Amino acid sequence: MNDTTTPQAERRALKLRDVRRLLEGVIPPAMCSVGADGMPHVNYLSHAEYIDDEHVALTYQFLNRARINILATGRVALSVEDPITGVSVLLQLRYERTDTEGPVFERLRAKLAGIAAQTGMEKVFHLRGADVYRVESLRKLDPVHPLPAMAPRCDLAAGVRRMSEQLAEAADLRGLLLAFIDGLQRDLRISHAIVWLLDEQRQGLYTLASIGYEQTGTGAELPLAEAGLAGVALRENVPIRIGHMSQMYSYGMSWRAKAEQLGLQAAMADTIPLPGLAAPRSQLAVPLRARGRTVGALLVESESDQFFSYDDEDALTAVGAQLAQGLASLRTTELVEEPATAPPAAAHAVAGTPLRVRHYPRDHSVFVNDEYLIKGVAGAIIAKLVRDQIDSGREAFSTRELRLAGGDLRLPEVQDNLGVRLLLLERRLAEKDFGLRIERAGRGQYRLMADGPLSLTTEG
Amino acid sequence: MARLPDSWIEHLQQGVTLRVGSSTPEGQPELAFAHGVWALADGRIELLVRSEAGAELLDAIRATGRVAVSAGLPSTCRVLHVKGVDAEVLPAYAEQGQKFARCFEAWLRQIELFGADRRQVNAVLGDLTLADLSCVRFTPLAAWDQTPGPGAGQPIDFMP
Repeated sequence: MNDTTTPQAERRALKLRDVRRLLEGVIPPAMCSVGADGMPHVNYLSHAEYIDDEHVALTYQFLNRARINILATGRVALSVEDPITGVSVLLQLRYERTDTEGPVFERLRAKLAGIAAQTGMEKVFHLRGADVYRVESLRKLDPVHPLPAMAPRCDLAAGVRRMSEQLAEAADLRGLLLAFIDGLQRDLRISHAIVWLLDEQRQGLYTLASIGYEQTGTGAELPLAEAGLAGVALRENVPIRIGHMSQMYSYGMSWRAKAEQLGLQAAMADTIPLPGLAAPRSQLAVPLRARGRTVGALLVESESDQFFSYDDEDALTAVGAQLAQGLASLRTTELVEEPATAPPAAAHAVAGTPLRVRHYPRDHSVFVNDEYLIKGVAGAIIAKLVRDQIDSGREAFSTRELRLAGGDLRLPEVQDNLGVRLLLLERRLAEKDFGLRIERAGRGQYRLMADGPLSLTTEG
Repeated sequence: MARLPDSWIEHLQQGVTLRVGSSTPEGQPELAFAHGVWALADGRIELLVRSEAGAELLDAIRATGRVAVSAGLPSTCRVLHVKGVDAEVLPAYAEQGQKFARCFEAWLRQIELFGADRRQVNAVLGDLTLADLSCVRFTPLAAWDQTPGPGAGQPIDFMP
């Protein structure tokens, strides 16, 4: 017999990475622990989590015989199965530690919450800890006739490559964002996604872009504490995925419900509706990191159970990092001016519908013709641009001007995030279609175009 | 000889999914599926394990006699956990054929409730015959109701 086909060779060759899909818990994993007296004990687990090629984490939920055995001998055999092919794998594990906080714990907690929601066990399932084990060996228990594995949604590796090439070609922030959201749909076959950026000053997230929703929600804000799965991914700096959605991780729900309960309709008037599926079945949140910092989170959703996999985590982590790097480098590029493609022009007299802009300096919320536009940094910027155009009649402006005005506006972060905020403003204005828009006239050069006479009132 | 209560003996006939554990003399746990289980008139329990796929488990049982069986009914999540220390491994014998067929059919009906396709399951498991199976026989030493929930782990009193 050829050595590469012997069971021994297969045991050597089989890697945890190759079978991590089986840990997903479609069929609950079974575990056999051994007591100090040598007696075996068999029980089922809610979930097993792949950590790396040498470690898995198992849910620690109850103080029971299995727990006593684990602490006594540390030896566990774990059986996981593939419901599609019929293949099962037996892992010999050695207990190392129990995490009660941190990324592994949070990943396991999110998945357990999803499983509990699906099985109606939300009041019973409580994660006490994530037991971390070293994998000592893997053994495939082949069925008599294994069936072929289900075809993947798409070729993720090839999709990442195509997306990466497109992202690398982007010359500005707008192009980068378009390449990213187009790539998610075309190359990774993802239909619902939100790119959240972190506003460190306000401890919240705001939507830079989304795909697949009735309301794009560009500029929609959310306190970090209410940000559901994206908030946990961002806080723990680790991808978090749920295959069966749980209310526990629905973002913005309690926040919105609270406001509605209190009858704060007025407070809702300056809120951009959040994008998102009403009843997602699967979600995956990936932190967006660049230069050692987390700058936001990507949230992808599906109306199907178990839509995303470990491979999706890998793929989105890679392209998400490229997006974050691009945002970091291109926003700096935007601060460098190049000559405008047309000379600065005075705003031409327009006779269209008047555009009444109202600005509230306390939070920089801005309304146009009594309709909410945006707040925060982007609100301060649009208020300044409107004021400048009314005062000087000038349409053109540069990032340098805004950068210099950053201190006056008392917005310390404006320099850092200016390019991204301008992009956000540009997208939000385009979506609202008030007849007020920002057009790019060259690197660091823009125009504020109004289809009607502008007026500005400052209130509050 | 100790016997499981009748309600739990019936439970074994309703199409349970079976996991069997043991440990080697060195204390290494082993785990495998079983494909049929029933109680004998004298209270002893028999179950069938695929000889090839369960070889390590069967070796451990032969060496130590220790066995732990989890029998869960998918439709109700009711789970029996039963252990023994006198387990022996025997060739499956002809009289077990009908019992095995009944257990397998009941199990197929259970997993069909969850969308499994019996043709697919049959294709995966192949035409299992008694020649592919080994019988594990043991006297129940202790048993627990392991149905998930706050009461999981309650001991089950044996019949006299």
